Amino acid sequence: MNSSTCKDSVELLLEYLDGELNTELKARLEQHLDGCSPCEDFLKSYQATPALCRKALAREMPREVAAKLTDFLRSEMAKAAK
Amino acid sequence: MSLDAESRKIQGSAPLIPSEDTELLTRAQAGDVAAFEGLVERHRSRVFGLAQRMLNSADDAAEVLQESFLSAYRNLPNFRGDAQFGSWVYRIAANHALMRLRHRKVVNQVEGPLDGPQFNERGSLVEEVSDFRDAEGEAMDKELREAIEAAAARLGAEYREVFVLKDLEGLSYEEIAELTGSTVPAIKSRLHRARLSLRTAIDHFYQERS
Ligand SMILES: [Zn+2]
Repeated sequence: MNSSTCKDSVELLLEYLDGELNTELKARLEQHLDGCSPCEDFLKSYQATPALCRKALAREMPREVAAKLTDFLRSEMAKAAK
Repeated sequence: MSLDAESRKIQGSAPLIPSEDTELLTRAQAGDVAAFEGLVERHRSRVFGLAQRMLNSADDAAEVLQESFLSAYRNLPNFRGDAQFGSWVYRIAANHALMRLRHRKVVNQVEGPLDGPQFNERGSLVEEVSDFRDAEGEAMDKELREAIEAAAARLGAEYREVFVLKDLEGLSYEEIAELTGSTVPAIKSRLHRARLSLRTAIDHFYQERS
């Protein structure tokens, strides 16, 4: 069973990183990764992607948005109190 | 590897003590406006972050923020103390953001299959993979950030929602399934496609740079 391809291996990466692969698939993937440096590098890049995206897409709430929210809710609450 | 722990850290807000919420909530339910504002203050940045990343627009996120807290306010009498206020309002916001995301046409949205790795006819990887560096604590390269923003903006709604909820917000597959109405296997499959597409964009960025 050492016929697995890079393509097969890439398809297993999400479940592999989640620790959800069964013993057989995990062994097969690890065997492929051991003998395939492109896939080994690919795994590293796949694994690094979410953290890079979190960093790139992090946003602080602008102060004026917070101020507008407060004004909006105050006027709505005042309407409701009438 | 725990993405969840990592993403909590990145959200950067001080840990919230739920018992303080409970006290504020009791007062807010009794009509104390200042107490409700206290709750808003404690949870608004997390809600804004979710909506901003889901919708990729500060204006839309600001509207979701208003809608969500207004909806929470109107539903205060129905809220039962056995749930956390924070997760309740977060769920309201996630629903509002999802509805908006699904009802709008994403500009530059990818039609057809997303980008992914290239294989030859024998199923072997044909491209060289760049070395992804992510220096902890270091500010992100501006061009890399823009490349990631552009790639994330091209994701279709069904990819974007699972990627944001899992990889950026750190929700569990089960929580995402409940919010989106999708099955866990479908969520995993779309998340994998989204990651492959974003990975490709980052890879291209590094290839062009070197
Ligand atoms: Zn391989």
